[in-house]
Amino acid sequence: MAMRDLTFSDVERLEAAELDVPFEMDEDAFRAFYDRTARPLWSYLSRMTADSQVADDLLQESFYRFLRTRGHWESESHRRAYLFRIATNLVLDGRRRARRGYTVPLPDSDQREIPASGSDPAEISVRRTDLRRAMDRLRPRDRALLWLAYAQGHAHTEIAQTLGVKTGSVKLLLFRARRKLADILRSAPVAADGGQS
Amino acid sequence: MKTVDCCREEDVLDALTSGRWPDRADDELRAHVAACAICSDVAEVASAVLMVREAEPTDMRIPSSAVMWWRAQMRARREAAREAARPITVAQVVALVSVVALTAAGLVALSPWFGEFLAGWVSGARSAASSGATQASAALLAGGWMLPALMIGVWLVLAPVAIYLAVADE
Repeated sequence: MAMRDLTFSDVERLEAAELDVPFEMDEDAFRAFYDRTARPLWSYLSRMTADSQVADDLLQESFYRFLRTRGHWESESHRRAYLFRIATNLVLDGRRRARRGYTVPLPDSDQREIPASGSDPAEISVRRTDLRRAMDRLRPRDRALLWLAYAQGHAHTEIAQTLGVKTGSVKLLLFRARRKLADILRSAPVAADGGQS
Repeated sequence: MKTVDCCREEDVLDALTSGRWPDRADDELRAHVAACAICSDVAEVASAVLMVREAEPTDMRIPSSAVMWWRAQMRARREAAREAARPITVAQVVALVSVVALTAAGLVALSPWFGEFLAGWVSGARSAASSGATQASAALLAGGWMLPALMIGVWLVLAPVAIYLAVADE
C-alpha cells in the first residue's frame, strides 16, 4: 500500500483522534455552547480590554479553562456566567500583571464635545468612538456591570455570578456605575441622545 | 434610604432595545423618564452602551467551534504529556547528578593527581581557617570524611540546579 508523506499536522490530528483528552463536556455540547456564547464573550472581552487581539487570546484561554473545569452547572445561564467569570478573572489578572492595564489612553478628548446623534454616518462613527472612550474611563468592574446589564441583557443573578459579588449588591453597584457614566456623558457639552432631549 | 432603582426601568430598556425610544415611545413613559432621575440615567447610559455594541465589528474572526475544540484537545494532550514526563525528567536529572558525584568520588579514590590536588586544597583550607566553622570543616575533610563530604557537597550544589532545570519548563 502506497503511503503518502505525513505532515506534522496530520500526525497531530491522527494522535488527537486516537487519544482524546476527556473533558467534562462532550464535543457536540461544547460546540453548541461555543456557538451561542463566543460572540458575546468576544464583545465583552473586547470592551473590557479595549484591544481586539487581546480579546482573541483571552477568548481561547477562557474556553480552554472552561473545558478543563470539572463542574456541575444548574442551568445554561449558570454555565454562561461561569465562562464569563473565567474571562473576567483573566482580564483582571492581565491588568494586574501589566500594571498599566488595557485602558485606552485618552487623548486630549476628556472634555471634547460628544456630537449629538445625526444621520451622517461619519458623525455617528465619531460619536460611537467617543462613547466607547467614555466607557473606557470607567473602572473595569463598572464597565463590566454596564456591559453585561445593557449590552448583553444578563440578569442580576448572572451578573453577580460573573463578577463574584452578591446578587443583592448588583442593583446598587449598577446604580453607581450608571451614575458615573451618565456624569461623564453629561460633562460633555452635548448630552448623549439616549437621555431626555 | 437612597433609591437605587425604579419599577419603570424595564419599560425604558424595552423601549430602547426595540428601537422605540425616544420617538415612538409612549408619551407617558417619556414624561416619566423626564421626571425620574434613575430612568433618565438608564435611558442615557443604556442607549450609549447599545450604541457602542452596535459598533462592534460584525466580521470578527472568531475561530469555529470545531477548531476551538481541536485546539483545546491538543493543548490538553500536550499538558498531560508534560505532566506525565515530569517524574521521568526528575529521575534522569537525579541519575545524572549521581553519576557526576560518583565520578568525582572515583577520581579522588583512584587518581593520585586529583587526590594530591584535593589534599593540597584541604591543607590550604586548614591553614587559612581562622573561624571555628572553617576549622571544623577542614578537620572533617582531613579526618577520612573527605569522600562522603565531597559527594554530599556536589549533591547539594548540583541537585537544586538540576531539579530547577527539570521543572522550569512550565
